[in-house]
Amino acid sequence: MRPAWLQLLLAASLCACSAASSATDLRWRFDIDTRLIRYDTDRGDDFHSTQGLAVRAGLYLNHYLSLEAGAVLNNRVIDDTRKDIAGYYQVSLEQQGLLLGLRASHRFTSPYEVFARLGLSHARTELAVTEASDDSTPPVSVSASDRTLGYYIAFGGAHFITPTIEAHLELGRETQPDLFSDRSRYPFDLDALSLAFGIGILF
Amino acid sequence: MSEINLTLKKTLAVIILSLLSTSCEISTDDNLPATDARGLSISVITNRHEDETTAEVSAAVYQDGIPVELTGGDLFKVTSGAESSYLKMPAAQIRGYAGSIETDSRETLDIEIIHDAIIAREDRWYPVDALFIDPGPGPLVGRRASASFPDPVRLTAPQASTEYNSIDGQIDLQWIAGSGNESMNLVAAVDCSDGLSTSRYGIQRDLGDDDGFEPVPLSDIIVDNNNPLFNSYIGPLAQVLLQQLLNELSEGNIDPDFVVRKIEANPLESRCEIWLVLQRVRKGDFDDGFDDGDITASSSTDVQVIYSPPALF
Repeated sequence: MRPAWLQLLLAASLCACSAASSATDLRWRFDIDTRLIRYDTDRGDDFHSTQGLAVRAGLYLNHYLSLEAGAVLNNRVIDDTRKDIAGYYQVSLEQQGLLLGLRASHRFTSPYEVFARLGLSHARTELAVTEASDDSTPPVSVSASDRTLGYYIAFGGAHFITPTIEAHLELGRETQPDLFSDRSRYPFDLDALSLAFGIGILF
Repeated sequence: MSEINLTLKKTLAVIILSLLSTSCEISTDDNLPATDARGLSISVITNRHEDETTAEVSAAVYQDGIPVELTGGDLFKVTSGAESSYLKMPAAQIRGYAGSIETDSRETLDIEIIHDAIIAREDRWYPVDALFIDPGPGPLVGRRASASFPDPVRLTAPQASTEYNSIDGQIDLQWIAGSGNESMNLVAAVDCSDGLSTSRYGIQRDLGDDDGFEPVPLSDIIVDNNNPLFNSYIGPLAQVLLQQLLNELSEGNIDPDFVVRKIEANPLESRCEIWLVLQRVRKGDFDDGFDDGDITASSSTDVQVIYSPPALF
């Protein structure tokens, strides 16, 4: 059973596709963003920042709304090295994902635009742990990954350099809930807060 | 303040444990328990404060006098009746492990070194059962010790808020004497203010037999900053632990380095609140897997008294 918000988003996407098919002036956009990402879980991690890349292709449904799909690739990020009764350990995380959502925008008379993004993300999250009992023991590493369906939301502003090329700045948040819930008694939610700078091209 | 609040009592319990494991003599040693320097030894210190439902427990193992780290999933498990707990926090004062357990004063505490790779790691943020690491049990697994709490201490004197005006006087500690072979111990936490500055510190004193009476000279508790021995009396380790109490006393408004920065007000010339913690201490047992050991369980109670020197003109 899909959650209500997922059903709503799928329905909106279907409606959007239907609207697009009846539009007479189909326009496309292509975005590529470089992102600074800060991960945060609900269980007390302390991840460092990392970088990532996002690409999206969007189909304008009307002057304000586009349906977009894309992919994100985020670099591996490490948590602080910690020590507890079992030994020293360090966790790292890497994530890739696919995006499907809507982009709403409002363009002013000046060459500026504000926009918001909302959608679903299907992500593969890999965790790796390296542990050593003490300084004299060789470290041991294990890893595990999980694929989950999450969601994202973002807000930003764009400046049109030419009528078809814009540069934009965007603040976003992507959430993957209940990671590893199917195989662990200790699932967690993962938030990725991002600051993105990118270029958008309209066709 | 006539009674110590719950948080403060817990902090006192930690301090009691720490001071129990340190020498009250002026010393430059490492504060580790005095056990046989050769072979494998265990130290367990546990205290149950009056009216508390939990006992604080610290435990450590030493090989030839050097602390042994439990790693990989080995850890101390403490059992009391149907309750069990694990010692995972660092106990700096004995360079071992600390924790607490729900217990009744009549229950025996069993302390065993076990191996459980998940429990040892379950406080980590990531899913430790999905990223499972288990190097297997270490050589100490299976060794045990046990302790039982002595009867609760019933302090009959002094009364709370009793005021003393001269260090030439004494505090007549009176309690209902025990029937066993336990010994008594006194921990005092002192908080002084001369109106402009404050000083806070703690001391410990072995009271010997559990005979129901012990006069304690105030000069053993109220110190004189001008006495050069004073700064040596509280070791750096005890200072760190006392900082916890002082934070509680000041509701978090204390300078984090207050104790380290030494005393400012001279207690001899200041009004001081003195928390007296009286402990009844009983020795416990350890199994043949250890060559030596020091197992102590104590019950404690407390009372607050005042030192108020005559005005100086």
